[in-house]
Amino acid sequence: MRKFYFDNAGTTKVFDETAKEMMRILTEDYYNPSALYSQNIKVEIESAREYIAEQIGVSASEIIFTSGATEADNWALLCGQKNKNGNVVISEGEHSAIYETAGELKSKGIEVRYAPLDKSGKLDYDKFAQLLDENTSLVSVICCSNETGAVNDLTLIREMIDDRCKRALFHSDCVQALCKVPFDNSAPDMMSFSAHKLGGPKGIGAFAIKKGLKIKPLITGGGQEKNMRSGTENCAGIVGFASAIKCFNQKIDRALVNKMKLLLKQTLCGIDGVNVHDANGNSDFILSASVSGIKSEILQHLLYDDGFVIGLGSACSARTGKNRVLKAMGVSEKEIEGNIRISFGCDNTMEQAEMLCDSLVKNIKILKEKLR
Amino acid sequence: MDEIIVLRYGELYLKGKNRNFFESRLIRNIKYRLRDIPCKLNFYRSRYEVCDFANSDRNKIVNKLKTVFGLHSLSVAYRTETDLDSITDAAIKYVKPGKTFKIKAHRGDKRYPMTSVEIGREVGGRILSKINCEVDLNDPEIVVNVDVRETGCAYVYGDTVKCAGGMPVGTAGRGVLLLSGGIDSPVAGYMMMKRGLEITALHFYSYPYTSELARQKVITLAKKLTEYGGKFKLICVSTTAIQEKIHMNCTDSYMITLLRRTMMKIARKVAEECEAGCIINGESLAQVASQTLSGITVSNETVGGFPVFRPLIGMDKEEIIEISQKIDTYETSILPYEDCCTVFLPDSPATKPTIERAIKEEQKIENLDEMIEEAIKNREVIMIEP
Repeated sequence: MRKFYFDNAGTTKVFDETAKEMMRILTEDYYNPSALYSQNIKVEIESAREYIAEQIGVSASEIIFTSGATEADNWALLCGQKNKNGNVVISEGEHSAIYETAGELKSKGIEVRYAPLDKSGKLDYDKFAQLLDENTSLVSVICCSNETGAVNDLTLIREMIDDRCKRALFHSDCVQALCKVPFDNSAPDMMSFSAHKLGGPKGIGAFAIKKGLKIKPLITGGGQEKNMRSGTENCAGIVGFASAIKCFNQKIDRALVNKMKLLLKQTLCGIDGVNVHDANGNSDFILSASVSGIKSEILQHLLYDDGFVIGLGSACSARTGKNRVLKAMGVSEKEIEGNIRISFGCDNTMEQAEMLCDSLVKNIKILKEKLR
Repeated sequence: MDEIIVLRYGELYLKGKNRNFFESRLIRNIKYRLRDIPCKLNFYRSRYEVCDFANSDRNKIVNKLKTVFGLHSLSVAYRTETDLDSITDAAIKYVKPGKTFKIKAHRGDKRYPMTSVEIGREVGGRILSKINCEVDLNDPEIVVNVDVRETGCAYVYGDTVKCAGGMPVGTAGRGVLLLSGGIDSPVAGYMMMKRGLEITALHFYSYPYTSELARQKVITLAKKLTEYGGKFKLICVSTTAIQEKIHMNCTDSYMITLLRRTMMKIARKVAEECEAGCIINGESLAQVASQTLSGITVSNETVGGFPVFRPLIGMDKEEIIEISQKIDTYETSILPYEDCCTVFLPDSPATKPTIERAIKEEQKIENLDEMIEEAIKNREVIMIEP
């Protein structure tokens, strides 16, 4: 049975064109870019870098390729603190790659402060501002929440940092924002990106470091990426990353995504006991909702049998069975248990969204009867 | 001088006229375990050898044989001629300069012209003349074993590796193991296989309330057990419809009691089908509400006098965990997927259920027997191979 995929915030299908481009690199231009004879692949990598930088809105020299956003997030936290005696401020809504790494810093004796979220899942700016002081050396706030799609105002955060802790560096995980949500690319000093959330391959990401900023490498070795990130370049991944951005921008119908989200939101809001976690300004690509009294895993199975793949919060939350971010928003345990995440991509159609709505209504009703 | 692996069996020694039956099963199990590795097997009375294997396969063979029930221990050894020069050439490989050592000789061949003590003394003396080291008979750093065999050769070896012990799988009949995704049931299966039982595993699931991942977890656990018992069948039976009926019609606190009774009824029927002589489960007295004496009595009633083995009944959780870590099932067992017992879990399950009440509750469900038959009919059988 064909499955309609609505978990695009988890990962995405690689575009055919992207896979083809990557295959060409893997089988034809497979030389090691560090070798003297591999001029072609060097050119391919640099043109991919330029294209990706342009799409992010930074210059090519600011982009360093990594194995993914988790590596870039780790890099920001582990190497982005200039004053080792200073404190680090992160939000409660961070992706685990930031949250867990901050925990590592904490275990090394570094003070980590956690900025709370408001009920909509955005940063509580007032409380955040109160946490900043002249000893704050690093701030990391996610741009667009992978759990709820809530979008934080990077410009405002920058202003607050400039007011209260001028010397602190500002990092933002922009994985769910790239190509999906407009964001102020000049506000953060460092940004993390990933290819596989927009039709690119897994295992490739980018770390953007503002020009002039000196950050130590996280991975040392052969001196690739201008001594900033050692390891033979993932050439096919890099080319695939650029190709994916290009395809995504060509194929995505933003008005359709908006309409699909609206339809699903309205449908879910109309079901008794369902709470949608959405607010003005959230990403159109992610819709989070809780069905009280039904373990979301069971609903996910029934939807799957009907031909729909949906998510249960981030993959990391699904694995541990706990959703830290929803908890920080004040969502009850019972609702967290029943949390689902529907996220859209280039292949989704209005017809699929309508069928998903029918399946949701039908299956929630069935489960409510059986579990009452 | 060839490098070989010497295998010794344990409890089989105690067998009288039946010994051949046990040995032939053990030999079959050893051959099966090594079926993919090029090597030669020699089976002598009370001692077996693996030889003619590639150097790179040595550790693989040792690891595979360590889990064969019926084997007591093994040693990687040199097989040499029985003359002292050959024995010394092999023994010297284990002795290191500056270390203390001892030669521990054993003479299986009583026709050999020297006693065990004389062999030890002579070989030790020859080593001392070649390497700068010392003999320490009481607390040596290195022990070199020399075993002169009746077959006209000598084994020279250092360490002895302890094997799984027990009885060869297949020598004690067959049992149906109730295999959940938890910590206990794989350990129960391991323990009964150790006593020679061959198993057929029976798993209950309740999709969509439990996930495909939970089922995959059980397959992974079953695969780990094949390292001890060889290939076996995993029978998966869905209890979804029955659980829904119990939830809708019966008293909440009896949910688990009724489910356990259903499982035992199904297990009994499956046992009959696959010619098993017993049911094995991982119950440990008082571990959870359903494993009280009353709980066990009520579920046991469904199988009449059919034997139910509960090898963990008197064990603490910590002891069970220790074994599950040893047999490498623990990390899989603790993966957080729902199992069917946690679906519709009542707030306070009955800790002192009675048979009469359970039967009365069951009567509230129309066609329970037919539903059980239907569940068995729709079973899925998966062959689990190492």
